[in-house]
Amino acid sequence: MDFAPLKVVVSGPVGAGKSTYIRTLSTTTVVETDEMATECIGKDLTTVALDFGTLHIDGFEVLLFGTPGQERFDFMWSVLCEGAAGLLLLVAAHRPGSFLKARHILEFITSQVPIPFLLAVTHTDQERVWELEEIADFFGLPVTDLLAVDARDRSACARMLHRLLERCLPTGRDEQSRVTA
Amino acid sequence: MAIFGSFDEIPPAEALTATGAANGVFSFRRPPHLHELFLRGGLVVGWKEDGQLVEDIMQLHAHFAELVSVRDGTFQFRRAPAEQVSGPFEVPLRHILASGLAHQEEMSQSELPGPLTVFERIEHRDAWLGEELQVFWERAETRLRHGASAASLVEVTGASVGKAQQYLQRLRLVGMVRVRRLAPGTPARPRPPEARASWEATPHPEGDSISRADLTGIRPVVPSKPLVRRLMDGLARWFR
Ligand SMILES: Nc1nc2c(ncn2[C@@H]2O[C@H](COP(=O)(O)OP(=O)(O)OP(=O)(O)O)[C@@H](O)[C@H]2O)c(=O)[nH]1
Ligand SMILES: [Mg+2]
Repeated sequence: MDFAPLKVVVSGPVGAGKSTYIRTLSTTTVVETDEMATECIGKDLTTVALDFGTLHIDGFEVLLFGTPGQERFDFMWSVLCEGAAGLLLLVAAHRPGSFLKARHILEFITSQVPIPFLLAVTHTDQERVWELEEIADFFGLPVTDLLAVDARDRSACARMLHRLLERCLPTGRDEQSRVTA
Repeated sequence: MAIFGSFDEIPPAEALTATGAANGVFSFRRPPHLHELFLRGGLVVGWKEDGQLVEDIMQLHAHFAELVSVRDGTFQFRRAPAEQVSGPFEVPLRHILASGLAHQEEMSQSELPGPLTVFERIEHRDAWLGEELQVFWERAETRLRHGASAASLVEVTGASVGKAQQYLQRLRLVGMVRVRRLAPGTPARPRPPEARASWEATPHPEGDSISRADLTGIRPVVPSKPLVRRLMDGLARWFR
């Protein structure tokens, strides 16, 4: 069987770990668009255009697209999410200052595009962090929509993508109705 | 560990609603003062200013009216067993926030949901809204049953898009509306013309694989089940 590659969008605020996530999972060279940050964002390099990486599994392809983190609110995200199988929104648990912006992104995208998503919480190893339940409350999501992930850890990143793909499968009820139809 | 942050990044009303119905002490520092709010199961039971307990309910309301517009200072929420959180009041947090928000100055754009973000009303919820918001609510309510954005409410409410964003945000904070997400498998909403322009203005690396991904096509992709299953099996080997 010949399958078109699957597209997954990785979004989130500055420094959440989007580029790292894509680099960790990619089995080919990542298209790097990091540049020196022009404003103070707490780190030197930031992504200025789209990140892009490819993951090959058993001859199949997953395309990973990362959005630039610095923009506040942009229609670009909803365009990017069209045709995507799923969305990973990354937020850093130790940087609550970025939560509001991340919530705006997620709310805009998910009210425009019917896309399965997961909220990936990075940096949970830092000293002072919001708990997963607290972040879930802030985003108005059930805690099952969240998963802690260290973007530097390949198996954690793979587990995250696995969870997202699980959500791309038709639900049990849909399958049932298809069988009886 | 705890909810913490600064009010210039998470405004007070957002920070307070993030505590949900948890029991504990929400403290915030605006030098030289330290304030402590005692919260129990969604109720405000007490307020201390530099250790001094507020005893008059009118004063409590006045404090909230002031607090919602504050954008400096840092906060944290420390959970505590219910029996350790006591005070002279039992005012629902949502109610007292609503009365505070009625007097609030305009929120900045960065605090507001986007003009196209779609909200829906939450059934069986009621809150005192104040005159101005009540008028908006009455005009918008029918539309909000099926989902409406600030932009789509301009016509029925007579409010500008910016004003409608302000009102929807306040309605959300008092628990009257929530975001309406599209369920996977349903059609996408039509894209506004701004979207294409904004997409084209975004620099992205050119390359084979990108054009293959058909980035700009409106092509709702429901990936085939066998493909997803195979990818999942492959991925599982990476973490098992
Ligand atoms: N301690 C810790 N560091 C992490 C974790 N995840 C990612 N990082 C680090 O966080 C830093 C920022 O990650 P990036 O991948 O550059 O973040 P980004 O989201 O691409 O940022 P922008 O492109 O600026 O929007 C990197 O140094 C990562 O190694 C984590 O879970 N824990
Ligand atoms: Mg990056």
